[in-house]
Amino acid sequence: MAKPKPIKINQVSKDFAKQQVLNNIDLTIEPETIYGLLGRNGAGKSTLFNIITNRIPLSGGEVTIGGQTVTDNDDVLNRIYLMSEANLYPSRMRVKEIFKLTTQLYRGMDMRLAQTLAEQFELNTDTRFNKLSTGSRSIMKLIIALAVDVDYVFLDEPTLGLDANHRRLFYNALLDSYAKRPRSFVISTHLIEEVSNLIERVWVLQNHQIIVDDTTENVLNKGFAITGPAADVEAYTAGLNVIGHEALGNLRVQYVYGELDGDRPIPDTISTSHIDLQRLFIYLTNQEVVTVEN
Amino acid sequence: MKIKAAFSYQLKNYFKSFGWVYLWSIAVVVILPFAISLVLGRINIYDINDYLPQFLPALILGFYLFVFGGISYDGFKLFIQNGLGRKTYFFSKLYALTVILVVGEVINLLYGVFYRQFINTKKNPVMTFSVLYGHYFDSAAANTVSVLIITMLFIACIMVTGMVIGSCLGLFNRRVQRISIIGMPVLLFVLLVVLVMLNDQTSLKLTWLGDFLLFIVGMGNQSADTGHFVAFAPMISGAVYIIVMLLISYRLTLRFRVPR
Repeated sequence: MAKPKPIKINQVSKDFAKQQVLNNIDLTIEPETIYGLLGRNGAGKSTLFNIITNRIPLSGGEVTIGGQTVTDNDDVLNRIYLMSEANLYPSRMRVKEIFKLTTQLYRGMDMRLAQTLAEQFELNTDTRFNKLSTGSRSIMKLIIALAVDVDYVFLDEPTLGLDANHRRLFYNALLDSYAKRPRSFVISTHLIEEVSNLIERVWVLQNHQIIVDDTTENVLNKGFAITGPAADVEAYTAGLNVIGHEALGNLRVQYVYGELDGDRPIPDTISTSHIDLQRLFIYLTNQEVVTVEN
Repeated sequence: MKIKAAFSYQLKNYFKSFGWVYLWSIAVVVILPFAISLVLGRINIYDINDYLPQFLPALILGFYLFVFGGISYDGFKLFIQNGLGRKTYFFSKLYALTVILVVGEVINLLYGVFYRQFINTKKNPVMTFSVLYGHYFDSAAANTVSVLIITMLFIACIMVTGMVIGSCLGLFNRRVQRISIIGMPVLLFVLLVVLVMLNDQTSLKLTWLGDFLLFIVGMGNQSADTGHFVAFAPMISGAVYIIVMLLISYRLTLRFRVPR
């Protein structure tokens, strides 16, 4: 089977009335890669997903796959599935009927996997969609997302309403499904710690723009916590890209995003360590951040 | 476009709902009065002829196509969730409703023949428009075909009107939709009253509007007898109306979007 072509997001902008949500977004979604789209509430993550899947019109730019626009183009739209909070299925339809319909309208669906997952998640497929709880609706959509035959799966807050056990079950199912049939997943979530081990590439959306677009490994390698006496820490981090700090008495921690100055000797009084993705995200998206290296 | 799968899904759903609308209509129009007569002990004077209108299937078909032609946004939501665009949604819906129209019209014809043979044997025509256009051509076959075409175009006009209203409403949120659904009939009623009042003062028949309306239904030559009106006029005006309304509906459908 030929490798799918990447999704190109070129100069995409979106305004709602006079409010700008996205400003000149440029991204490439490569096949068979797991992405994490991180951003604060209202950053425009869902809007970006809705634009990629042609659910809403864009104000500027274009989204293409293999040079073909996604706008009302079944050939490319049929290769994308978006699982979101929006309930677009008929409320009176039963879960098993929704599975069947998905099989019919998409190129197919792994019904055996869907059935297995439904049993694991204890989802009754005879239940009507409007009788499902928030968590069960999420589960139903996740099952479709993992079983449907597409090249790109967008998951917008996939674990909404799921308890810890079900979230673990989902992450395992996702990895299992990815291993058996590699395809791209783009996950937007606030539970960063839970997905940090899954995602291969990180995007951070802030102030209507993508401020980080890099591999998870590189992003983590660029995040440092510099700890020590306040004066020494401030002296060492002068000129570096400090994205945040914490202080306790004379002890100070400065968080740095970017390369440390290799020529500058590290004083014995301070220590450096890498920081986790969640902490990095918190400081990167703090409104008081001075600069961000992309 | 993935029209085949979409059409197949739409058609199946439409047939199912069409059947339900028929069943409910029969229950309300035929069975309910019969049951009431039975309960009240008046079954001896119950006459099916009083309760079974000749145009019942035509009314059901027109009502069905207007309402289901108007339900637009829910279908769009489902299709976009399943990776199908607005164009596919529009055309699959149009094709499926057209099939329903043809099937419904065949039912109307069969019912008309049955009604005339067994229920009310008065010499009412099987197709209503025969009264106006049934003698335009010299050939009986040509008259039958032309009246059939006019009837189908008339029902199609009702369908596309529903589609335009539905696709227009689909651009707004639920609140505006509800206000429009309640407000529009009121507005239309007021407009009708104004027109009637105007007609009292200066007969519309004497204005260009009156002449135009008569012309598009084939009554331009007012000396023509009933049954001899120009059959081509409603065909052309109906076709033009359908094309214009479909274009409007199509353009509006392309503007559908998922709520923010």
